[in-house]
Amino acid sequence: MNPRAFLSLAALSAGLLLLPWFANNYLLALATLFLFRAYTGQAWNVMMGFAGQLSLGHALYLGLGAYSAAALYFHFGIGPWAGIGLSILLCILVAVAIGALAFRYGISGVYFTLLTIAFTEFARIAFDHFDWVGASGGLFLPVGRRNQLDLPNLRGPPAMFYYFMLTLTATGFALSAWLLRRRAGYYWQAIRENESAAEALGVHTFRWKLLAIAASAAMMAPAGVFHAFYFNNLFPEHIFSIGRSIEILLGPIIGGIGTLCGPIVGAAVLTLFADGATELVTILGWDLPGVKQLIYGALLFLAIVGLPHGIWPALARRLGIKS
Amino acid sequence: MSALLEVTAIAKAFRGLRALHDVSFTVNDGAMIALIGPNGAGKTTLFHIIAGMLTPDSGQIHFGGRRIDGQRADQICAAGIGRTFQVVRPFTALSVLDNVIVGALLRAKTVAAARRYAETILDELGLGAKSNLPASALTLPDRKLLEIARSLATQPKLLLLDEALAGLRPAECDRVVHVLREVRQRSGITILLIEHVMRAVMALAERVVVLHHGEVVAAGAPEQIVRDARVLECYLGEDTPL
Repeated sequence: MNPRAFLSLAALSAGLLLLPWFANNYLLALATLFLFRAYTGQAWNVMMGFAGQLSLGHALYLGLGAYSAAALYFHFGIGPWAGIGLSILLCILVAVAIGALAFRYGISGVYFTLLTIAFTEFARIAFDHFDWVGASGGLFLPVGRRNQLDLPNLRGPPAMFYYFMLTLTATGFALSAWLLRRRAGYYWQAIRENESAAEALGVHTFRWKLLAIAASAAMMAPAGVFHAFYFNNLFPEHIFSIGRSIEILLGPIIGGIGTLCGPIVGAAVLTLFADGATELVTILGWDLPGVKQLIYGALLFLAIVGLPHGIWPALARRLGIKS
Repeated sequence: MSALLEVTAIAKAFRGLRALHDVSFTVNDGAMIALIGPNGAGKTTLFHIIAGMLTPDSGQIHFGGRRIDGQRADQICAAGIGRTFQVVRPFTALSVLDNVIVGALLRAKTVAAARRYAETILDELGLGAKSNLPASALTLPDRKLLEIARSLATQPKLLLLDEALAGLRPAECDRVVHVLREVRQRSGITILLIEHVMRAVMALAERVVVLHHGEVVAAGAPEQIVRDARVLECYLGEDTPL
């Protein structure tokens, strides 16, 4: 790493660590949302960016993670930390089942993507009728006192949630970086670039694709747990929606698919776009329904047209870092 | 010399189109054999079957005494058969070195060990200086060499080369032939190659198997083959006055 890159990274880390000391609640909520986007984007990137398997149904794992931990807490009073472990297991199980079904029968490319949508829709409809977790009426968690820190139950001030997501994002980044340098990273990229060539080099592609979907789903689970305990309510229509699946992948696409920093840069830019659009509408007094979304859409369009390979690869070249 | 690869009565049809019929031949340990024949003769289909990308309708393939037909491509590679593709398939977004590391990881226990092995192979093939370039930046002859390097990194006993020289200019062709000869001298690897470039076939192969309409029509030493009436016929047509 060159000195310039090291300095940027050090400044960024310090800024993120100290943020709760000088940010107001609004800014902190915005930063927490940014981290949530960055982390879920990173998880999706493991499967698509590294291994080339396009999922348009990652809301499935977010929802399963959220519901499993929330239900444990709601019904049995089991805290979210044990819930995280269980939600990871559940997500891995479901991901392996979907992956095994798809990869065993040679379902690939756009058909695989359709399958990921189908299972997420199936989950949405199933949870809509799942009375034990509130069905379409939603599941509501008892809200704790905001000024009292209760870490075992993940109850506390906004700063606690911010640090929870910051830790998760840092861990997700480190895990992705580590995986990319291992055998898994090499094999995943080979599969992404040319699956039959990878097979001809002795790569058991079925097994490694399964690992990619399992790792990606496992990473989504804690984000789901965060979602449940941060917002304290869960609706199938909301958490399993296709719109949410798309939100997850926007960050890495804008930031630079397949790169380590892309999902983080993308999440930052998306958060700025969304918030910037809101601010702009307020300042200009154009408070008409849909104007905000229109501006957000236009900004997204410009980013994708201007930098089709993502913002991070272009930025990294400027900074003189290998992306 | 013992038989390393035994192809016995292989047949394959695609929706009634007979691609291969009763194809049998053996490749001895340490040999260099060329598989030639006009376009559509079934050469690449045969390679796909040996390498596990296709399963034969009937017949058997034994490698080192073990039956391998019907196994997956990665299992066959692990058993010791490396292959290159006629249309090169580099991992374009990865560096030249990373391309070869993917192959080397088959036998290496760690990424670091795979990297060291990949580096020696790239040096041997004269691609060492280009290790850090993305594979997409390579010229065609270098891509062909990369294809071979990647395959060699899996440490095969038998290397299947599918038109490794096609599309190259004569000087580039000589360079690849030279590399192949060196590799063979050093490692004693067995090579089965599909080739159209007769100059290379004459220079490299000890034995030639001729495939025509999915059948073996001739097999023998290269000098013998180029004078074989049936071979001339399938290449030039029956009525062509010579």
